[in-house]
Amino acid sequence: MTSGLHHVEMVMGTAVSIDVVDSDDPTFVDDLVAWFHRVDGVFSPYKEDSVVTRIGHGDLSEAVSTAGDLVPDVLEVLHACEELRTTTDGVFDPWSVEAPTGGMFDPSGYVKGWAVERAAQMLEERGSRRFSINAGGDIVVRGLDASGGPWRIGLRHPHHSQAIAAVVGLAGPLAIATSGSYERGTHVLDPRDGLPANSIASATVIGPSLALADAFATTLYVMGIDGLAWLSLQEGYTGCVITHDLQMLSTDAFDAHLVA
Amino acid sequence: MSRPIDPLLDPRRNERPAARPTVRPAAARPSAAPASGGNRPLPPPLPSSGTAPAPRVTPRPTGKRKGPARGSKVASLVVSISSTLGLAALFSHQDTTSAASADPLLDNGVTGAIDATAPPTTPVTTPGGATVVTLDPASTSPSVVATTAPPASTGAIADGSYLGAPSTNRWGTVQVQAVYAGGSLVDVQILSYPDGDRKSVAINQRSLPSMIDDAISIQAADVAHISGATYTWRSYKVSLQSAIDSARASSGLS
Repeated sequence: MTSGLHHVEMVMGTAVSIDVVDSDDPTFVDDLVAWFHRVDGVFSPYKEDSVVTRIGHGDLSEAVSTAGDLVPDVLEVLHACEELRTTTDGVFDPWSVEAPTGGMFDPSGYVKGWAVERAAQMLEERGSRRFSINAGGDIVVRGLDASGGPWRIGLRHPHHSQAIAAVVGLAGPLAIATSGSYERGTHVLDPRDGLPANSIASATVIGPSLALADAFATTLYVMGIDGLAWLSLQEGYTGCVITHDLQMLSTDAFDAHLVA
Repeated sequence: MSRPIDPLLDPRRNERPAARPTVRPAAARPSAAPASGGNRPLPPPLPSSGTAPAPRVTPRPTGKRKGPARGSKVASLVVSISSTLGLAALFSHQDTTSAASADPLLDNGVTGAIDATAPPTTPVTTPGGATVVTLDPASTSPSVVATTAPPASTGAIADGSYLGAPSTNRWGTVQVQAVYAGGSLVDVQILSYPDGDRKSVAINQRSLPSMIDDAISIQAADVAHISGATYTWRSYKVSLQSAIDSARASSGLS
């Protein structure tokens, strides 16, 4: 009987929490923490010398060459972002987002989910089958939780940070991401007109890949209620939106996960 | 006035008919002839659409809808759905007499097939009683798309199916149909989209409690994580516990 692993690391600009049910080998956590810090160094839009910052400021190939052994990963992220820009019809567009350092490239909306997904793969390669990783509210789950049931995930209530709007039960492998403007007072801009998107309070997406769920949640948030029809075309993904006047609109496939 | 039941805690909330896949190819459901009373034959599909599965109108009982029937909101939803898909915000309105009736056949997959490619203004009667007028998808003429405003007297959207005008975007031609029952949007059907398949998405609506006292408390819900919150619930719990410990200590308790 293992006691499990619990760890919270401040990295990638947020709190990353790692819960492993079926192991108590601390090196599991050490590997993940090291990975997240490596990702942060290369992909942080806040760091002047990060690869992402250099890309935003100009020469792509020169910037990528500074990524060291993460060059393949940088290329993978660039390629994925390019694909997503097409999939979302330009709503998800890291090249239209001004980074904190002034460059015009901020793939954070994809990188966080991607990094967590890779971390999940690392745990699986080491034999873990039951864990969850939560990076600032974007979450992957594998298997069942410590009680043997689906992982219970709350959806933040848009008006009350200490309350939740609903609870979903997720039996892994699944991922869930929420996009909203209530955290940090930041705005998600609609790349199509450069204006802040605020037609709804939040958008949540559940699906197999956190990287895509994260990008889709951002897209759904920008699209608003009508984005649900768009999301329904994305195989394997489902979601809900919460309006400013607290109406929750969701698809049946999403509701199948609701437990409260 | 008594406090409204928290819809999230309403036990009836999960009383749904047998789970149906929400996003499903229309072909996955039986192409049934109209149920009892539906003696009127469906128009045959046009030759050009002979192999395409027909989309179906599936008004469902409204008893499970917890959200209030908000006609204006729902109307804006329909319009916004059309706009996202690049559609003109033009809908034809199809009269209905009892689409909201809880016809069990409707939720058993026995639904009336509506031929999206039927000639303009061809009326089709569904088992639920809805008369659906379909448009020629090739036609984008506003004169064909009759826009009927919901009855102003009730402030609710009339039951029935509302077909959006087809629109061509970079992915191809897209057309959606919104189905209303009991004043609520119960189904959005995507009749055509780029890969030629057809899907349908049912939109459920419910009201969330606005008062924190009525909202689901994080503690009571016993969740492992909170999606959309950048703080971690575990950290919050630890922090809360330390605050409680501190308060107890400063109060001279254990």
